[in-house]
Amino acid sequence: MVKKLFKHEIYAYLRTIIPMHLILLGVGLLGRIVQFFENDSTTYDIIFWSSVVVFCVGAVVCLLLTLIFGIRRFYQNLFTGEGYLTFTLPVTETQHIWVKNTVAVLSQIASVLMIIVASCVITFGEVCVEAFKAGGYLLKIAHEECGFHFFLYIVEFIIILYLALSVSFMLYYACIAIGQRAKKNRVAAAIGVYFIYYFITQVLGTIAIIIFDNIDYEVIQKVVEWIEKNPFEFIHIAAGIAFVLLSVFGTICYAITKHSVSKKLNLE
Amino acid sequence: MSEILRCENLTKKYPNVTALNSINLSLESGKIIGLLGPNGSGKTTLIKLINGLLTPTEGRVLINGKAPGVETKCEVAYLPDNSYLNSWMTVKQIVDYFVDFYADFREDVAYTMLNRLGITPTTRLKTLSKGNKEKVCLILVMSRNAKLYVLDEPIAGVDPAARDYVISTIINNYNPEATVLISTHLISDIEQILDEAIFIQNGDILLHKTIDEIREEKGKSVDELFREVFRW
Repeated sequence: MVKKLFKHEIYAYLRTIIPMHLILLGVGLLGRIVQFFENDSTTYDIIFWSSVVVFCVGAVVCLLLTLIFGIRRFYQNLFTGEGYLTFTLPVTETQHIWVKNTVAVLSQIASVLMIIVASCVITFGEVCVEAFKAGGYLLKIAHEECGFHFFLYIVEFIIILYLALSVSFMLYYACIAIGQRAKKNRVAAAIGVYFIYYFITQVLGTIAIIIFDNIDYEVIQKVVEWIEKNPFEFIHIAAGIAFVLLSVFGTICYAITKHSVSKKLNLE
Repeated sequence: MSEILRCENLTKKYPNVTALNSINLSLESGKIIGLLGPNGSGKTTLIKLINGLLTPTEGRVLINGKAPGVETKCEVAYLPDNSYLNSWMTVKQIVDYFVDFYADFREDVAYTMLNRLGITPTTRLKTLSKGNKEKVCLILVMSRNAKLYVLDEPIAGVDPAARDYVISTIINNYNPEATVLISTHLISDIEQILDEAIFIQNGDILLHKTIDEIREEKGKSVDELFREVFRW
């Protein structure tokens, strides 16, 4: 059943994000074609910079729309009239949540990759080659400096990136799940829940800064010395802490969402 | 006859109201049963509990001996009282969706009924009229070879000709060994197809008898008795 859920979820995304990706690719291609007519005229400058601006705006819009589509799909499929079908399929709530989360994260990654590909198209030629050369050079230097740690960093980076995306969607799901318990204006209620979360994190951040500011200078000095002596281990520990914090926060958001859809469902 | 549905002291309370008040109910297989009551009597709450869309405050509901879950969802075909279709889909896509998820879905039966209505597989659901959307929903539900069909207000808000279509679709397509539970307050339209009637009011079961028992004991049709019991 999970495979079938994935199949239908991916199809629902593809019908929206593929046209969007093709448009972005088209904008990138147009921007590159413009560059073939390079000259010193003001008209060329206006057209060139316009194409660059349109491409940049298109890339941001592509990312935003993928994010909005992921959130909207969760809400519409689970909490509107469609929920009557979704929740009477022979599938568990856990499977629904994780399939939606996984496909939302993968579509976000697909949009990032498409922006990279479209960027290569618009800069195709000397600029693109130079950018790749510079990137390759930086990676080579990093590998020489870090040795085996370099590969571990890449693995940790990918895991943390995926986890952060997954947790961010899970946070939106939790806000929607709490918001749907309102009698009216459920979308507004979900947005309200998100702002309350945002306010609480700001307060906690401020408290953390105050606490950090009051830590004994000698303790900070010792930590800094340790980091200077063990820079590679420090990055691994930081990644580990990020992993644990994201996992804990994600689990809390998942538990809220799961509880709401299985025990407090309030379909329209 | 085996028992397909059992409710034991089933209670559902909302913050300001008790929708179901410790009801006990047992339904056997192979019957068409009317769940009859005025608006707000608890019909939809009971149906949502059967389908696992709500959790009971107290008591329990068992379908074929099992609490609502993945297994029971394979056995229960549910028609909600509002449209559940993904409007961007075509008719073929929604049929494929049902084929994928329900092992008991009869694709040929669905297409035969859709053809009879003149609805082609390539038709987008959002282009269908409200009446045709409701018919497509009913066709999808009745194309399943389920053990329990739960139909929430299938004839509410449709014209008399469409009511005849709905009723004929139900009686011509349901699995004869299954039970059909039809919630409605339009008794006269469905009385002729019912085997049993359940009267529900303010979350209490007032009556659960066969149609013959009602006619013999009360000397009235179900519609007449309903009007008498639920008179304002």
